[in-house]
Amino acid sequence: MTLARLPRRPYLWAALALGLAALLATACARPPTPEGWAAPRPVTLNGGAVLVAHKAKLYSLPGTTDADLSGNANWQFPPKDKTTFPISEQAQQSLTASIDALDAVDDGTKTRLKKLVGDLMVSGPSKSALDADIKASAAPQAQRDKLTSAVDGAVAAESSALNKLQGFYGDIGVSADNKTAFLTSFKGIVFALDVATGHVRWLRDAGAGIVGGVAVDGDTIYFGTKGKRVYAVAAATGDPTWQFSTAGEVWATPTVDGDTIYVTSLDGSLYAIDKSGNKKWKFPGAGSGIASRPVVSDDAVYIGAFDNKLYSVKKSDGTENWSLKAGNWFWATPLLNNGVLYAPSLDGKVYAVDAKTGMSKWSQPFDTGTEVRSAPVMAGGGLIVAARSGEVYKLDPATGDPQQGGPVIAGTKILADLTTNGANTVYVLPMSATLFVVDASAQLAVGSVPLPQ
Amino acid sequence: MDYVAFLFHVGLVVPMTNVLIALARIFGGNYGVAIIVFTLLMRFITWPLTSSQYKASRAMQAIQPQLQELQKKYKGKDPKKLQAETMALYREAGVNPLGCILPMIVQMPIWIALYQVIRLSLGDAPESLVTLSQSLYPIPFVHTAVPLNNHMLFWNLGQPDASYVLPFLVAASMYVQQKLITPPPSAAATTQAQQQQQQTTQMMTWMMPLMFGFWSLSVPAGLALYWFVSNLSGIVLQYFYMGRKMDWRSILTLSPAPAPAAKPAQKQRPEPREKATPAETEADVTAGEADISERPASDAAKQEARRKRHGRRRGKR
Repeated sequence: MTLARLPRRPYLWAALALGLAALLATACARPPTPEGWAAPRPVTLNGGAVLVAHKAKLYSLPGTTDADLSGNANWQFPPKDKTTFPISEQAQQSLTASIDALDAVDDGTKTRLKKLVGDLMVSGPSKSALDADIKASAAPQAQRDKLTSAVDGAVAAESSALNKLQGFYGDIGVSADNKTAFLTSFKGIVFALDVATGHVRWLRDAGAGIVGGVAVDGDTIYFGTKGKRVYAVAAATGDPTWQFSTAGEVWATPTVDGDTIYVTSLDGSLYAIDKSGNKKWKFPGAGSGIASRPVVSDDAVYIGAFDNKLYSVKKSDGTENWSLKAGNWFWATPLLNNGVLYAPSLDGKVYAVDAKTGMSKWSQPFDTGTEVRSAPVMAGGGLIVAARSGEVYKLDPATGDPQQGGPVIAGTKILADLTTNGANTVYVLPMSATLFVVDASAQLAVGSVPLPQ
Repeated sequence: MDYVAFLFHVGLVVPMTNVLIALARIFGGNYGVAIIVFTLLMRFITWPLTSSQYKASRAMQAIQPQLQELQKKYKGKDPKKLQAETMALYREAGVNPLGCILPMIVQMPIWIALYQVIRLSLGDAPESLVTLSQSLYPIPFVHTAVPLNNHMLFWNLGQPDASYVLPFLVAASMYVQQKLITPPPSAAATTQAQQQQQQTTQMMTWMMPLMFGFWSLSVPAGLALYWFVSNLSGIVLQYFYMGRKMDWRSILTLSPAPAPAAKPAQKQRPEPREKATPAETEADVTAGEADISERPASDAAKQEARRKRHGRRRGKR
């Protein structure tokens, strides 16, 4: 650029101004930040609540239907005020054990120190009080230093973890007794939360981002990471039992069926792993990544892939039964109901096929007009489907015809899976800070619950 | 405005996205290699513009003595006449002042589009992958290429380079490129306007690399990689185009000493450059001489010696 020799400096300045404007425009358009699309999760504890994750927050909303759900949350995680949010139960137990092991400290002092540990918050002055009492105790210097260091470490680690959540995408796992919820954050931290209070039971940094959610199976939970690993972790403590390596990132929640864990990966494979972490078989058939959660029937596993195909794979050996091709990727988890597989695609269509043969059950797929990433549910005798555009449809499961009136506009785009309370209520979470509660018993009736700010 | 944005998206962002993904697939799924190949392709496509830029640069250098004469002649007397004469001189020499900055202007939409493409295809957020699915052509080779490998060496091409290596490389390569094409200041710059112009020129030599280096800190590393490869290929192209006339030593000179004034003996105007190749060649030689004449005496002597050596080699061939 021989700008130097330009006789007319206006040209020079015009070019510079253009360049500046262009680059400012690009600078203003920052890369999109991960927001999350975790599906709402109803729980039965304390008369019923719905756990709703929105961006980097999780809310426990009291009630289960539109009539009784309220925007006043039982709790929210992470809390607004961290000076009243206790450190995790596991960290408290660890510090309590360290206090018990102190030498030359009388029981009264130990009891007082334990109480201070019980009152230790992730932020605020509570740590100073505990530090002062540890310093004043009669324990040997080395033990006091070690305990102080452990307190510092616990507070720093948990405070840091709460500050880097950046969106929840995966299914929220809930223990069989409904007392513990397992939550994965995009930044790679797994939390076990007390469903009643929202307090942390334990947390683990997986070392890589997590898009999928947690599959709960008794006393073990399973999840996969962007670090190409699948982890089995003790539900009570968060201690890893085993880990399994895949060739690609794992973006979907694993599915547990009997003694097998099914995991899909962006390497284009479906893995069947036994409960000791050993590979049983691998289906490498997809020509592109797989990000949908496997759906398991008596004899087959169903997966949708980025090669535009929906696959049925034999449970026994991982060979292909059939496949169905669409016009774009399959990302949503398909729904298996009465031998029919309902699979939405990013081409905007919902496909219904015979799960055994792969033959179409409808005369033609139902076209929503925009991509469908949300998993459908069955409620009120209809198939409920949400398109990215924000439209919710109730379809006749037998024909694919839209039932009873037109679509319901949720207002903003919907990417989260739909969930149901097992009856007629469907929870729809668009990207806006509002939970939509759809009564699917007759015509779709929508109520909205604004999330707390 | 929405219509313009839509056209920009469909006409530039989507095709570039598909081309880059196809290139990535061809080169083993590496998006970084795809960006490098894409940059070279863009250099190839914009070569007619770049070459006209180089020609304009040479022609501009060639008519410097005449320009200086005009400025001396009409200095402070008749600015309108000076302007008219200057434009006449440009016309005769076939110089288009816009020719110098046209390639830069043409590349701007490409930069913006590339930024959008990288956001779209290498975005960290899973949401961007849903959007990407709608921007891919229904060609299996492209449509099934996802997921993309957004890493090259130690860079995540979808994120700004936190190691500062690419911003440094962008700034350094742009500085070298600027230095190679910016002539040293002339001692003939006697008027205030000329001196201001020279100051602006020297400032640009520093400001442009600094600005681009600074921007490279905040844009995705993939775009910074594009700038770096583009600068590097620009330097190579310049070498082949300008050959031995390039003054590599000037890169090390932070503030070059003013060159002596142009020889008053060079009075004849260069041949018009519009048509015949021989005339153009002739003009190039004239341009080379004018260029030498502007440099410090010792430099000019060395250049002359080099030119003679070069001529002898040509003779041998």
